[in-house]
Formats: sequence, C-alpha cells, structure tokens
Amino acid sequence: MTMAPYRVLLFATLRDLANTATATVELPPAATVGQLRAALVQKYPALADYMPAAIVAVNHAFTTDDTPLTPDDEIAAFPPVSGG
Amino acid sequence: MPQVTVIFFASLRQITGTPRITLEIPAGTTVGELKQRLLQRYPDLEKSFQGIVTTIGEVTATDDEIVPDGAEIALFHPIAGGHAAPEPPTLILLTEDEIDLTAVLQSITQPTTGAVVFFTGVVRGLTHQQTTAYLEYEAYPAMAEAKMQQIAAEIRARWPKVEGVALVQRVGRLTVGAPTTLVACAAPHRHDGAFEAARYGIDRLKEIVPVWKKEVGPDGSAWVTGHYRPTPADEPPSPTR
Repeated sequence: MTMAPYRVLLFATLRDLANTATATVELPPAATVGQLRAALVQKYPALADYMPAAIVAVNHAFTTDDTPLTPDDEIAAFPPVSGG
Repeated sequence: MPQVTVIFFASLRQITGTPRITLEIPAGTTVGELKQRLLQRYPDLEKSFQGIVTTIGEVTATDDEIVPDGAEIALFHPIAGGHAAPEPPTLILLTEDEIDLTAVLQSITQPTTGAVVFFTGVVRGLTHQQTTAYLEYEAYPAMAEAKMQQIAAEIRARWPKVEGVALVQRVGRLTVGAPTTLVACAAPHRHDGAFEAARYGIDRLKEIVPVWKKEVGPDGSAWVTGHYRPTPADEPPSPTR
C-alpha cells in the first residue's frame, strides 16, 4: 500500500501547539478525515487533547470523519471559530 | 446654467470614488451628452457604460432625452435579464484596516433603500472585572471570505426583501473600543427583515467563518475558544444542474 503525503493548514491553537502552520502526514489511498485526525495526533502528540473538537475543512467545506480525501485537496484543521 | 445631480451606484461608485456629484450643464444637454461629460471627467467609466441604465427622477431615460434643470440622474447596472433595478450590493471584506462605517453604509445603499441596520462588535476592555489590553485576530482568509459570501446568500434566501448586505471582519491587533466586525443589512423599510437579518448574520459569522481571537491582558494571553462545530449540513445546498 503506497502512502501519500497530505498537507494540512493549521490555525490558532493547533498551529501554536504543533509549532507549524503546515503539517504534513502520510496517509494510505482512499483516506478519510477520520484517518487524517489520527495521523495528525500521532505525528504531533501535542494536538491530542484538541483534535477531537477540532474542525477539519476540505476545499473550504466542513466535513465528517467519513469524508474522503485526495492529496490535491486543500485541507485545514482548526479549533471552533471565535471571530466576530 | 442648469444644475443637475448625478448619482452613481455599486461598481460605478467605486470608479468615481463618490456616490454623487453636482454638475452645471448647458441648457438643452441630452442624457447622451451628459454621459460624454462624465466620461471626460472619469475616463475609467467607459467599460462600465455598456448596458448601463439611466434614470431621471426614478424614471428610465433614453440618451436623446433632454436633462431638465435640477434633475437627479441615477446611473446603475440592471439585474441581468430583469427590470431596471440595481442589483443588490454585497460587500464582503476581511481587512487589517479600520472599518469605515460611512463607506459601508454608502456601498450598500440603493435608490430603493429606506432602512439600514448595523451590528458592530467592539473590543471589550472590561469583562467581569477582568481587563483586556487588546485582541489579536487571525483568519483563514480564503475560506473566511467564502463563508461570508455564503452567509450573505443565506440572508437573501431567508429575507427576500433585504437588499444590500455587508459582512466585514477585521483581523490583526485590535485595541479596546475598536470595531472588530460589522454586519449591515439594507431594505426598503425597517419592517422588511433587516433587523432579523443582521442578527442572523453576526450569529452565523460566529459559527462558520474561520476567524479566531487571542485575548491579551496583564496576565498573559489565551486563545478564545468557540463552541460551534459545523458539519456538512452547514454547507449551502449543492447547485442543481
């Protein structure tokens, strides 16, 4: 099974904890958002407490853990928003 | 010489940099000749003049009509395929600059607008005796702008009488008292849903627009935590083909 690199934009608390604005994780083909969450926590253990509540957006759209991913997607992970 | 007022709407206003001008014109000047004068003054209007609608006192005017003294001439683009009404303006802005409330008001006001409701959030300095020095705002810009556009569309779907809509979010370091966000909704009358639409706009912005703030006070800084967890149900329905 060939793994492929997925780039993930991180914002706010998640970026501070991972100490990077762009995370990279390796995922198998036909990966889902759920697998991405697990891979992020594995590579960046500091995110563990925050990943369950984090929002994962794919191509600017909200997702569920079943949402499929491709390496070309624009993927972002961030805490619940607090603008306004 | 006769004096006339020319009113610019939407994109025309951005080109001229002013919502209205007053001009003196020779007696007997036609609408077509007046437009030529405007082109001399604002050459950049040329490409916008294609398909433009001109009204005198809210009645559509042709190019060969003579402009009467004291006339109010409005210039705007009609809704594609529709009648001669200006398209409702939408202002979506994510900016580090100060929010210019008057400019926002002007940019969403149309000839049919009679009521505009503004909501603005400002940095609170004192919360239950706790002092805030400033807030540091951060955004995911491309998605934030897409979601603000989505909210404007949601507002128009729910309150069809609402016309102009503005959603502005400021980012960067914002000090106590500074406006941080602005939601403004325009409508012909105050009971046409503008109050409800503005409230919906700010509530929705706080749910789905990816912006975060860090609070900085005398004892250090902390990210403010949001509570809403959007799902695919928060996406607009996919377009039917």
